[in-house]
Amino acid sequence: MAREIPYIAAINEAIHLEMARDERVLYFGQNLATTENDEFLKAFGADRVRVTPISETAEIGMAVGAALAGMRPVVELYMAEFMLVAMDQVVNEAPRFRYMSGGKVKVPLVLKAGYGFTAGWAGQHTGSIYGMFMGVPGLKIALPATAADAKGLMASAIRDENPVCFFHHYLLTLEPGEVPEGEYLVPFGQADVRRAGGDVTIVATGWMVGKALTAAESLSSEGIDAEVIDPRTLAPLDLATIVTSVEKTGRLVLVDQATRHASASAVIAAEVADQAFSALRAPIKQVTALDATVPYSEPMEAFVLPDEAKIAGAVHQVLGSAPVAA
Amino acid sequence: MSGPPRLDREAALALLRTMWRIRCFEERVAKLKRSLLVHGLIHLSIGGEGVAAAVCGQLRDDDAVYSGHRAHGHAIAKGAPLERLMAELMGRDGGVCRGIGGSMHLVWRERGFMGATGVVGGNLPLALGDALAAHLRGSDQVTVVFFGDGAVQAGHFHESVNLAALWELPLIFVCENNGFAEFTPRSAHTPVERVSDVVAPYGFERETVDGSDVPAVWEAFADCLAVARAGRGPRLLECLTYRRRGHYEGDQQSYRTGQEEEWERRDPLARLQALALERGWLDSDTAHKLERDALHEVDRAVELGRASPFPEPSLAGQLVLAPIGGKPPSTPRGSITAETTFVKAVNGALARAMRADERVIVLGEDVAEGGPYTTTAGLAEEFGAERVRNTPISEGAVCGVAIGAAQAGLRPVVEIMFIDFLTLALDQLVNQAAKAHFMSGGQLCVPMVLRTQGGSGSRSGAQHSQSLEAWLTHVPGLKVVMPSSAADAAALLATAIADPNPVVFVENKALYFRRELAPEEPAPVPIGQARVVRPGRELTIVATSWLLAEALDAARRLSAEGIEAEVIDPRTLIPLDSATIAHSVRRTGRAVIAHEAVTIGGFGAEIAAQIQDLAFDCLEAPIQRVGAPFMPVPVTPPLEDAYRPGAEQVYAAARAVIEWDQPVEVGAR
Repeated sequence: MAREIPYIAAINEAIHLEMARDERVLYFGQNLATTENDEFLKAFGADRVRVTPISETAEIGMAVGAALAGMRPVVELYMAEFMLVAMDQVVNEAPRFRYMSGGKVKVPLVLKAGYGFTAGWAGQHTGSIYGMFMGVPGLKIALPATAADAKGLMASAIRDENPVCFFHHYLLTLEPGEVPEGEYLVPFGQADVRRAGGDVTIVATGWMVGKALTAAESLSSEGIDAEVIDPRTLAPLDLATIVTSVEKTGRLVLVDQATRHASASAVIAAEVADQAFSALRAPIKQVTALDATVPYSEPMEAFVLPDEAKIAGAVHQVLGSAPVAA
Repeated sequence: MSGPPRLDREAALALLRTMWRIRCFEERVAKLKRSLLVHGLIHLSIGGEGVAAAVCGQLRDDDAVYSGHRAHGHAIAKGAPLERLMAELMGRDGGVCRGIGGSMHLVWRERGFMGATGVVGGNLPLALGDALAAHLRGSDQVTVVFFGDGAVQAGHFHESVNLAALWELPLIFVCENNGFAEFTPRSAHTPVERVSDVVAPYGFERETVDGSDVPAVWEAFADCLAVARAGRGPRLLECLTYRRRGHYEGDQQSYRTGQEEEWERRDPLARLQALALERGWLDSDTAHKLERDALHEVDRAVELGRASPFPEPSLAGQLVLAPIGGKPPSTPRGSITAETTFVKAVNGALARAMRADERVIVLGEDVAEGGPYTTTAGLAEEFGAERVRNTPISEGAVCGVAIGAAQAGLRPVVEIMFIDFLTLALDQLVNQAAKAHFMSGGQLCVPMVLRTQGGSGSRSGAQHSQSLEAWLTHVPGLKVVMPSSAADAAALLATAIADPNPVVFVENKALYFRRELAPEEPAPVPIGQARVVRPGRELTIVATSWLLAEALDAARRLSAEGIEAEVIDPRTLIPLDSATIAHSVRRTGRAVIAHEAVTIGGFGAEIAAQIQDLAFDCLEAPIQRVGAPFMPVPVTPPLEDAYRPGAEQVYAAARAVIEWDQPVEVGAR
């Protein structure tokens, strides 16, 4: 049975169900369970639901150690940018142990963090840094765009035998969506074709998926039929679905809320430019944030970030583009 | 000296004036936040005005203050104009940071308010750097860093306290211990009750006072200041304050009770005013006038804020990097060439920069001993231990020291030994260094160079062999340089040191001791200019760092088969000389990109994405990328050798792009 619940409730439901299902699942982080009425605390007790100090390095390191010792920790990090404080643990420890031990140990843990932006959070609370983790062998990256995917990917993340970075967008937090009740798993590495179309392929992640769908609707009124694909996980990345689509449409627009340079969309662009070379009829275009820190002032924020109009503009560009002159 | 200074009438009135200005400003901000004239995350300091006023009120304009996310009071007390602050919170061009920083990132450089940060504890290392700059200048300037008790559990705190004590810096740590770290009581964070107890082992003076007792704060800080001013090491002043509001505006505070009763006892403004009335320092008319004046000033600030336009949106693109000014850093002197190595080139460039400019300092683990690769050998002997500073293994704080020192006018070159450990300093590099110029609306510059080494081949395994430079190119505000030769290393290091922006200078261990002929004093090379190392017509190979020599090997082999490859070394990844690369590919129609990092998520993807856009109509074959397989670097020699991309892979990729569409009649195109 599916019913509508908000994105954040869907994530919490997945964690709750997995904690009930498997007592090795732990949940800890800053400001977690600050009152006795906290639903996790009431259900699972203070041993499994722990509030931590502002010590990101030790929080993540503790999770790595606990995972090595057989637990399945979920670390609540709130804001992705604070992972930078603890990047050594995220990059040099968590994804390395299985490999460095010759496969003798495993590190099943979930690093849960918000990303994106919300009005006025300015330069240090808006980091869309998920692209950085694509270059780290051993890490998985989930980036759900809907409440159902949020639940299904979180459950899969907790059951995964590897470290998973689970990024949820601030602006999706209260977004309602149909979510199946009970056990619900979305496999990693399986893109979702959110809208079928034959003229152009749009690949969008996270918060940008909704924007891409809106842009696709408005384009359809102009007779342009866009296919919209949400990869849902960036590592592993379901390149096959994207390449199949581009082989059909010959045109690709990538939508990514992060800054453009060396972004997740650049990684996808390079792969598609290689694998679908013969099918491409126009250069791949990226619609991303401007290469700048997110500013505080509201009009500037809008200028910096991608939106429906910029997506539609890029679609027009790839459809109308004559070969680019030198 | 006639005993410790006591708060007198004049000082008390000045404190009350400042506290009223802070109180009225923040109460208005709370209202404006509800009406959405002010937006974003707003953290108010009501209840802490006494600490801000008593500390900042005793400082000079040339003393620096660093603050955290609860910064309005500190900025006001340090002299930032209310109307400029209000305009900032409204996101207007007239704001202190032109509307770009907002509440958490206030800066008012002309009065020494060097910045607030939204990362708890992230400001502590920066303040160290500022204090180091004052110390090296031989001035009696003092740096103050404000932080909450929540920051004490962050690693940056411990690294910073240790360094301040070790280097005896003129730095005063002012902790506003309000008993809450964000939404969680201190008791749930740490078993140590007093912050002053945490620093006990470091051996510097520390004191805990009631932060609601403003005369006590004022007198205790006067004491700290006199000592720091005289150059006698760091101090810590812990003020027990009361946070009147939630962690942020909008916080429902379900985790707190009994606020009203406690506020009765702990309102610092009410207490100081009562004391002043009792001592006859002011009458009730004057007291009311102080409040009215402050309200009037806030009214005016709101009016001016409203009247200020929003910033031109395109300003966002203009403020990412500071403009380069002045003349080129080094002058070519003749063309005497000599045999050299990468290590000697780096060493020579550092020595020349330090001779030419006394603001240049070198920091890092073991740098005074020359480091394990001798890149800093002899510098300590020539320039002394003050300018060539060994640091503890505290990457985060050491990077922050460089940033703070750069903001204060020095030109630090900091070494983070191995790019793998840059992960420990990434918050400082990404959240502070890369953003300071932008978020301050152009007030701050961070002219620092961060030298680090990447690369495999030394049988050092998965934590000492990585190539992580692609991450850095994803961060707006950083420049990233990655030379492949000794000559370029010398030239680009000089350029990097002269650049007003943070530059990450990525060296490769495997290139360090190769011999090459290079000019003794290299001609300057601008950042952002690729080098066409070998001309060719059939295909373009773009190769970085260690892969350049491998690409040249492959090119020689191809040439023997009649295929002429053009080989390009971008030399700098940010900014990337896309024009040179695209120009070449538009001519050759075929491209191979080679680097040592993993192919997926490596920088080659960015170059490929740009080429397919800029040269789409000229491409005759898919762009091939040569990089490492998607796995950690193995330690056992056969696996590491198999892991590491080289000439063979570049050659195979080149053949693949040449043979893509047809069997080529070599040399005939």
